[in-house]
Amino acid sequence: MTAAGLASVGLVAAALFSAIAALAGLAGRSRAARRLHHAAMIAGPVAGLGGSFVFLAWRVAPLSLGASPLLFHAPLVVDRLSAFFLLLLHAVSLMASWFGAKYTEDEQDTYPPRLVLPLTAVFVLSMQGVLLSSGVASFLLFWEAMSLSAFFLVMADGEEDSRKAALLYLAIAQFGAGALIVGSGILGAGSLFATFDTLATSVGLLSPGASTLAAVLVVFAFASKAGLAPFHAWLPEAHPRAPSHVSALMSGAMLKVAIYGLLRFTSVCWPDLPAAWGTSLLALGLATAMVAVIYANIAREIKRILAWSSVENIGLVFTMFGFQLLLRREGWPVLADAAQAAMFMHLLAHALFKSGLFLGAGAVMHGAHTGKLEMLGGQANRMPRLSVAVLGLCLAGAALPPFGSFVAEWMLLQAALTSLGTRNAHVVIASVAVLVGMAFVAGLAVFAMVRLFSFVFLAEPRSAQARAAVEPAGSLGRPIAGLAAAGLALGVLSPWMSPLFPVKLEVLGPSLSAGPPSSGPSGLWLAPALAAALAAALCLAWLIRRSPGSTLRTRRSHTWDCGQPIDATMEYTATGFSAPVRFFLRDIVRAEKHLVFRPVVPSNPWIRHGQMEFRKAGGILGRLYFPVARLIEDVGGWLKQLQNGVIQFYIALILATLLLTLWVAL
Amino acid sequence: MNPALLTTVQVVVVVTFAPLATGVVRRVKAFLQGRHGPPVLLPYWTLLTLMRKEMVLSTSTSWVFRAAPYVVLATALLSAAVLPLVARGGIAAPLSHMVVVAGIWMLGAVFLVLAGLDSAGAFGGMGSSREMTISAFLEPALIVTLASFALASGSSTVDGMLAIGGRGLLSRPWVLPALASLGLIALGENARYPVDNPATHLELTMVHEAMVLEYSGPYLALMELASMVKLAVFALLLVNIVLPAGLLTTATGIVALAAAPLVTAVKLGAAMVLLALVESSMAKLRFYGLPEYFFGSLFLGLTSLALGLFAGWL
Amino acid sequence: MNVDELLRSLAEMSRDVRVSAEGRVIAWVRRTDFPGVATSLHVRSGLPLDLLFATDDRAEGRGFGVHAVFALDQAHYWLEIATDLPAESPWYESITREVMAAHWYERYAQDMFGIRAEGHPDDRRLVHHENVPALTHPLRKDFAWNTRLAQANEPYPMGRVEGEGIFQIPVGPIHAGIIEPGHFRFNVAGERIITLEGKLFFTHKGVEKLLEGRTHADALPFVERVSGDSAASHALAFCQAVEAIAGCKVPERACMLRVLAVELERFTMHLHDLANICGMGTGFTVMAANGFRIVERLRRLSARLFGNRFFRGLVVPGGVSTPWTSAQMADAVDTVDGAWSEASSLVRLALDSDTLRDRLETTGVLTRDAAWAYGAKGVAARASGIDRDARRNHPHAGYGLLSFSGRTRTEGDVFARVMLRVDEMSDALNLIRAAAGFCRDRTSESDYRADCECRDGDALGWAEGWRGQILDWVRMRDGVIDRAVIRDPSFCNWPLFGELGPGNIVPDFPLCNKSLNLSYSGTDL
Repeated sequence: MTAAGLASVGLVAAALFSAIAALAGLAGRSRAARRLHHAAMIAGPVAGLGGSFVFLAWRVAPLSLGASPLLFHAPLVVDRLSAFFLLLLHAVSLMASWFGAKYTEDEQDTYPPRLVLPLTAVFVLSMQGVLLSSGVASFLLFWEAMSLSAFFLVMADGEEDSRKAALLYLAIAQFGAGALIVGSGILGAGSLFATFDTLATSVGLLSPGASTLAAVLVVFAFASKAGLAPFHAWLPEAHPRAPSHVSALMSGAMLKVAIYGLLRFTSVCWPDLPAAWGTSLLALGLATAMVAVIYANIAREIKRILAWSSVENIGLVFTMFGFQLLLRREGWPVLADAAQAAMFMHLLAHALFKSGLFLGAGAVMHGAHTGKLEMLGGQANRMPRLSVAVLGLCLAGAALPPFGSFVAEWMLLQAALTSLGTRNAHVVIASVAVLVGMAFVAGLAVFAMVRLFSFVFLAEPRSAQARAAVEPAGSLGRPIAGLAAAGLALGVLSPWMSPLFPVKLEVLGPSLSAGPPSSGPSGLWLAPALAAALAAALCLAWLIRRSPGSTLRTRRSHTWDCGQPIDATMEYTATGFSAPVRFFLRDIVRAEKHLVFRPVVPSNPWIRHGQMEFRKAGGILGRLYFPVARLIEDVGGWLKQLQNGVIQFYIALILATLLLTLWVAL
Repeated sequence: MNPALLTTVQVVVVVTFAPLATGVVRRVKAFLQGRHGPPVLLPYWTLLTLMRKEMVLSTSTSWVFRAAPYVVLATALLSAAVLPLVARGGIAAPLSHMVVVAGIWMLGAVFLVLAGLDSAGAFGGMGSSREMTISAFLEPALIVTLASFALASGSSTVDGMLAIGGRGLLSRPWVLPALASLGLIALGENARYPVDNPATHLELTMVHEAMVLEYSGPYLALMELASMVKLAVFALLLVNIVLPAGLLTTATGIVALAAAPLVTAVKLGAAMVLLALVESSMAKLRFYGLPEYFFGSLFLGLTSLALGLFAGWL
Repeated sequence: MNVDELLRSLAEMSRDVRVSAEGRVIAWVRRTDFPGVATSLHVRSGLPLDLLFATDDRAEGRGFGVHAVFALDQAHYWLEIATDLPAESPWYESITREVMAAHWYERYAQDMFGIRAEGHPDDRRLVHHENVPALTHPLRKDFAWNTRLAQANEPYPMGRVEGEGIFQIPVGPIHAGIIEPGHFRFNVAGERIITLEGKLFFTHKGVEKLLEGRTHADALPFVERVSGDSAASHALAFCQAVEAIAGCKVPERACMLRVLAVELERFTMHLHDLANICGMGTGFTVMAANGFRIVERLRRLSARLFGNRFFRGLVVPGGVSTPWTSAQMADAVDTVDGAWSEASSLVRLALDSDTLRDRLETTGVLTRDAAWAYGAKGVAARASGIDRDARRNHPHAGYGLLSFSGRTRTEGDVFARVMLRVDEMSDALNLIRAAAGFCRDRTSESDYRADCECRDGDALGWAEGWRGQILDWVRMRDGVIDRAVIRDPSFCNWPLFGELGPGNIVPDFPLCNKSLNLSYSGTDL
């Protein structure tokens, strides 16, 4: 069989398995049906991974997987861009399903399988559909299916807060979907049944104003789905609420599908977006990342921290996207390619470590029955294997060498450094912003990841349930370890990963000369070299430790604390750990510490009991969303006054409309 | 000379002289306070003694605590291998890319922080919280400062930054603010004044010492050696930026090898005397006053970068 | 309210009002009246509560006694309100409900005598830790000083602030520096201190118990060692109490030499604190190294003049142990002069350092209200605007013959306490010069010690040591001490940390701590 044949079989099989899983999940009351569901959920991504890998590695030309009247006759098509995202999606969904097979069985009481199993399959299936659609209508159909299945999954546990989060998510998703439909309608000259190929020609017929309006709508749609500020408020509410393997899919894959939509539509419809778009998206992306990383340091619940970190990473992706756009428009294609390569590297790296971390969060919460950092701790001694994997994922999340996320950051910073030599004010200012902003985000991202790992795994447990936790089953732990290993491999083996990407991976050479980079080998080989050097340094450190004359005798004793027995109330808390961040950035954070002291007897104010709580000031919800909602409500209320029930008024309105239409038309 | 030999010589020389540097700075500080101070060779004996001592591990700690000394020392050794300290153009020099160097330092800081938190005491956590704050908030300043050196030299590896001819980096006078910024960063990254007091006994004010409070025996020796190496690395780097003379290269003959330890010792000594003077002439900053310090160094770095960019246009 | 009015109003409810020789009005009231009278004297008449203590009078069939001593600063008098409690149910209504200054005294009496202050808002143990069995009351007469106690595990909860993310930082009792044992417990949610509480009394010496049954001469070495850094002032307060009981008139030269001893001690310790706060507290090591070097010269002066390095042994009941020659006095004046000129250049160095001033200013602010309510003493009170100084308000030793006005500041922060010490050092220098001049011009070297017999009775003795007001109450019976209350200012000032700590960040606490420099030993008798 040809490579193309193999690829199409794999990808089609993946979709079919997902469909089978959905049906089996619907009939999920019997154990056999559930087994079938889980088997199909795992088999699908395996086939899909194989298919997309073959497609990418053998450089297969774009190929059609067939069309159906159900999908409005637009064929399902795979090209390098969609194949890359399919690879990413299948990698994440394989690990999530592997994890989910045990997790959904164990957590039946919280997440009803009859709801979660079919919806998850539909969710995965619709994401594949979005990536494979070549027509606008089918794209929109799968897009909606993806949003709605995610909506129901967010409130799967039926709690009040989950329902609220799901509704917030639904509102913004529908806003985005509406914008997408209107935007596509404008692009297709009123028709939603165009394919991307025809779209490319029809967009040329639009007036510049209409084209820009469509671009604004489409970019808003994908940015709000991906969680770009200021449309991000739903993300930290909704992602943590879903079952953990679904959270992994949402943060690891769904956000990337939104980025795919952005890339697909912009590359088809606006291959020459003006540079100002690049600057704006860069600015929005950096702002998103900076704000989100601060909140990732303040949140006190594992999955909430991870959700904020997702917002941060999406911000970085938009930064990279905007930066490459700017560079391309300003006439620096080599630099633009480097920034774009960084973006793809980051997309894959984030998909791997973030889904791994969500699964890790699920495993910890499964064992310790809480996700609150202030109640966790000490799990490294209780779940040593899981802790190794999660530490790897956290280091990847902190973009530390030698993980893939570090390589992505390095690629971008090197591109920004080289851009300093362009003597183009626009580019240079953007580069400085990228350097400073990325460094700020990188520093605080390390802070957030260290905090996450430490307060879950290190020191003594802070609650009885955390004390009683044990290592999760291997079928929960192995997918997490797999994702950690993949994140590491992505960095260490990056020179050999290039064929899997839609663009050439490259770290620009060290020289900052403005011209094309020197002809020497790509700097990417430094990544494995760095890993090797790190390993060598570790060996040297070990040799120093084992040098002749040193002792191996050890004794165990309690932690010294000035001759006083200590307990878990005396170790640092996550709240305390990031207190300097709260204080230094208090103008942005505006978290208020409320201390209430009540005197024991009213006549002596000096002897009192204290109580403290943090109240976050309104945040984006209070400052932007609620005012907008109120405005819509007010406008609606005002419009409602038109419905006064007087027939003559209605006739007058109709006449006025008619006149207005005539005037516009003529 | 062989590039592999260059890197080897550099690591050996830096690691050998690192305890001496710490000894010198303690001695000079004591002298400035009118005390005799400990012998300059004491740090070597301290390390040797620690290596022979039985280790006490806290029952609260996990494998992370036992892994941290290796990682922390490894990152210090790696930075001693890649940066142009004794030699330039060694086999590891291409890894002295500024982003990589920042990453290596951060990796070391992260494990130090993890170890501090793993001991489950309030002091370790306190040190960790502060160290993490310092590392995270110095990151923008570090990147911007190195970026302005990169701009001045046309190379984004630190090794390449020192490779430019003539009077070195200082032939571009606009790098001076960046040099000052790197000085501030060096003080912060090495837990020296005015960010931390390496000699204090007051647990509540500690940063670095609080994190390693639970360590003893050989692991403490590794941690101490790592911080000594890191101090020596920063000191030599700063001196070399000002005065790149005396660096071994692939072009120098085997004879120059003999002079390398001497040159390194002189450079280290000068840097340590300067450090002692700085540390004796000021009080430690208030911890919640540090943002001014962070933003000050960021501002200095940005000044250099802006001046450099303008100079490029003219 | 003047003294006469106060006495008249007291006489109405008191069964016995008398005035003692050393300037103390004693009024006995009924147990039921005691809390009301004491509270009203503090709250309505605005009199500071300087001492509250208990006595075991069961041998005379009077049960237990509780005495509250207020200061009439303007009138230079003390006012002691006392009541008897029945031996079988020794309790009274707590005055801490309204008088914060009584807080620790009442807990102390509860531990040491088993006297319950009913309704105390914080009736935990104070002196006794978890290991002391319940119903152990060491200062009762029927408790032998060498009793071996069983190991117990009684509750001694430390204050906790509730809330997610709050944790505690325990520091001590064993510290990295060479200081005495004390445990501090912070409640924090990061760096900012929310509450702070001390747990002291780790090395209880039983001094009050050991003094009982001794003559005053035998007792003096114990008193001088209550707190090694204020040997002279503790000796002075105690000697004045026994001299008052004996009706002994101390010669003028002795009075002046006592001023010299106490002021030398003050100068030395203030200089030490200056170096310790500015140097060790902030890491400005030059200040520490040079400050401690000058302090050493004063210690050597003490070795020459006192025969030891701690200003011990000069003050004895009836006068002083040696008359000092003019040469010795000139040595003292010259040494202090030299030290002062060096110290002032250090102070200039400190004031010129921006980083140092930034650390000291606005750090550890003690409000005037808090200082007043807690009954703060000495530098801590005067730096917060409370103008109390026993050298002026209750003249003792030779202070009445010397001109002296006292100093205050109002900021209440660490910087104010440092600068107040500098001002007091300059005052000390003037007092030393004046006292030495007075001795040279108007006294004879031979008249330096009067007889001081052991008579029965009770009296107050006080001194304004460098740390603040020391107040002793001594009762002699059958020629030996029956009960001696030694109250170091530290006892009043320790709880102040609960007020001046919160709001500061944890790494600034050592600075706050050094700015008060309280004595563990002086508290833990």
